[in-house]
Amino acid sequence: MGDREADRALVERVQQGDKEAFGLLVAKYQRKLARLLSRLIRDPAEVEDVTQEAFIKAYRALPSFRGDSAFYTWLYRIGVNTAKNYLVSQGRRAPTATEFDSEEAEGFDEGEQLRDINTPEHVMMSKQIGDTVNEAMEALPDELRTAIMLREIEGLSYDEIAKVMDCPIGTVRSRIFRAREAVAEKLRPLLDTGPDRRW
Amino acid sequence: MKSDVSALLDDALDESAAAQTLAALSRDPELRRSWEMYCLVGDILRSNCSVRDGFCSRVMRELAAEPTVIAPAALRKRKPMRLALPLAASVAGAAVVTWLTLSVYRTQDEIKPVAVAPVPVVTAVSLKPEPLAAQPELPPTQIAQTETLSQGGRTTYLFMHQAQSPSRAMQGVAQYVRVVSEQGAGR
Repeated sequence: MGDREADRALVERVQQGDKEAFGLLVAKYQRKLARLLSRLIRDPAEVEDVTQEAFIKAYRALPSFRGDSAFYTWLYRIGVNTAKNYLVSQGRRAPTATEFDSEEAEGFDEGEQLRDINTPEHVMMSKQIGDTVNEAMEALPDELRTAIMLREIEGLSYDEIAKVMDCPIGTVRSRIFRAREAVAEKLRPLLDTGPDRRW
Repeated sequence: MKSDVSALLDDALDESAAAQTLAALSRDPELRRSWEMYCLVGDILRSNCSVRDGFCSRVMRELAAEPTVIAPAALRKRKPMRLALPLAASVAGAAVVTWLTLSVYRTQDEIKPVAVAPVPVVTAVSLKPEPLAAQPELPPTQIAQTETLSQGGRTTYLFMHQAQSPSRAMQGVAQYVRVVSEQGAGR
């Protein structure tokens, strides 16, 4: 399965009536989209509302999604248009196309600080989550830490990681899974992910 | 199965394994939580964490009120086959016609000497009743043989070698063509 194929498969399931598959897409892109929209809208609470609206619009528009572009490109475009419409409805100026383009937005500066939703509770929670992940990463064996960093931060494919780490692809897959599970194990008590709680 | 979820997130599963994992994700809430957790871990590592706890739940609650999306994705997938099959049938038909046509031309070229040979003398004699009536004491086959043999070495040669004619290889088609040629030449 190549790049974007998992998204396409998920979209097809949604188009066949599987709403839960759309939930998986929301889980995958919610933070990326919110981060993108936070460049257009200052207020973090508004960012969240617009992000949510963008996902709902995307769901409604999915029957017309033909798959000519990647799902995330299409979703980002909907997100940006939703944000612009929101700003116009609020009597605020929306950025022009040259100021902001959803295609470019996919690669915007990852180092930029996030504007968190700054209630004291949320700030504390975010800090706790960050610390927990950092501690869990520190506790990982070197080969697991390297594998997940190459995947999540450098964005390398399994094949490329296998070459870098000089090991079979199956080993890469296993290392990344074990690393994720180890970090997730530390996060679960913190997030209290019961059946009705979804991140 | 969780390892498959992890691999699916990285687009590292083949098509059938991905389909199985997606089906399992639809059925199993525990697997969906693993998917969400792996997404969260990746986003935290990339410093993409700006949405509050429960965002996904809120979106899904909103979606519950939405009519379920049904798009003819499955039909779209079959569309190429629906176009390809008639196209393949057309191409196959055209290929058969071309092959037959080429075979006929080739056969005609190969039997040309037979067609231009003066064989019609045999046919003409056997088909026309007047000469037979003029010589009632001899049966038509004897007349034919006599007439044929009297044509000389070339006619005899062609008559004797008709069994080896390449037109025999195309039963039904080239044979018909040869007969038509003979009749045409005989007129």
